[in-house]
Amino acid sequence: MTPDAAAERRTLIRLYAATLAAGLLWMAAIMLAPWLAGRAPRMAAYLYACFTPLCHQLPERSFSLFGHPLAVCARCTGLYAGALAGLIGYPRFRGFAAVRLPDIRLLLLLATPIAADAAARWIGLWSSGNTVRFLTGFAAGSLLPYYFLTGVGEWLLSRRHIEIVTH
Amino acid sequence: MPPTKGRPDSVLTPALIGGAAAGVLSGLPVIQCLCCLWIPAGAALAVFLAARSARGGTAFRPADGARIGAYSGIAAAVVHSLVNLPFQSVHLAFYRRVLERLAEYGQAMPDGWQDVFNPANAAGFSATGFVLGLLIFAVIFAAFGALGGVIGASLFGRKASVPTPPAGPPPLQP
Repeated sequence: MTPDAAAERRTLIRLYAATLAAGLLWMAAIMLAPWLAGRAPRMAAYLYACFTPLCHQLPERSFSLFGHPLAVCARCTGLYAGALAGLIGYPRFRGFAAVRLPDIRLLLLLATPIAADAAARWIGLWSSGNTVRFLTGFAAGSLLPYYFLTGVGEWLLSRRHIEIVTH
Repeated sequence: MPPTKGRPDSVLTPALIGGAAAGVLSGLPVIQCLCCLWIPAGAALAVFLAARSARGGTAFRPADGARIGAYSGIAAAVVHSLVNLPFQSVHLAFYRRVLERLAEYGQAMPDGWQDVFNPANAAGFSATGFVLGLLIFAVIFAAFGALGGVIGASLFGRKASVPTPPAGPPPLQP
């Protein structure tokens, strides 16, 4: 492995580690909110507020933990859990040798259930339960880390090459 | 990895447009109920606009999508924070109704929960709170935006045109 290739691999591994840490922190925050709700409601309120721009947070559409709803709804919980699962599997399925996008058709395939379920709910065709919402979200979220790591990884590598060229 | 050639120019305007749209939609009550879709959608819109205005043959690599999407996410955070200001009392009332519904369901509620989201007890505008919230949302929205931008580049970005190989020398005459 050439020194440049080794350096690029290190960059990708660091990006992966940072993203994995952020993903674990994100899921921990989602589950910390209901734990705080029963002990420190003001702190819990601030934590719930962090997720407000990203989710409707309706209690009847959310899973409960410690007697209080999670910080996001069941669909969002599935999305983030799927993304975390995809992250954990990334080294096994993709590795750090190169950056390349998955086939967009695979993303569209995995996103079809969540889109269909949301559309059906919106037009009043059916209203699925939290388990279905979670599973459809999980399927769609599992491929998202591959897009994120590819794009941001390539961005970091291209900036690194620019620095090498100009110095 | 060599730098991308023919990189899209003038990405700020599309990023601002996509970010503004996402920030407004995620800041308005009721409309924001489409979960986390607005920020990546705004980023994908930014990439679409950048691709449409780019010079012919300009390639949109995933890195370009991530860059445009991140800028769009930061713009969305700023717009969201500003749009959200006049609706703070609406959001407080919403949170209060959520807690009241929880209490009806028999959830164990801590003492004093009724005062947490009481608009009468809510403090006025806090510059520190506004800036802190803006910084937090900027980081979160930039990450979501980068994701949406990469997906947008995959969907809308033009592929780089493969250069036509030069014509070879004429065949030798016998």
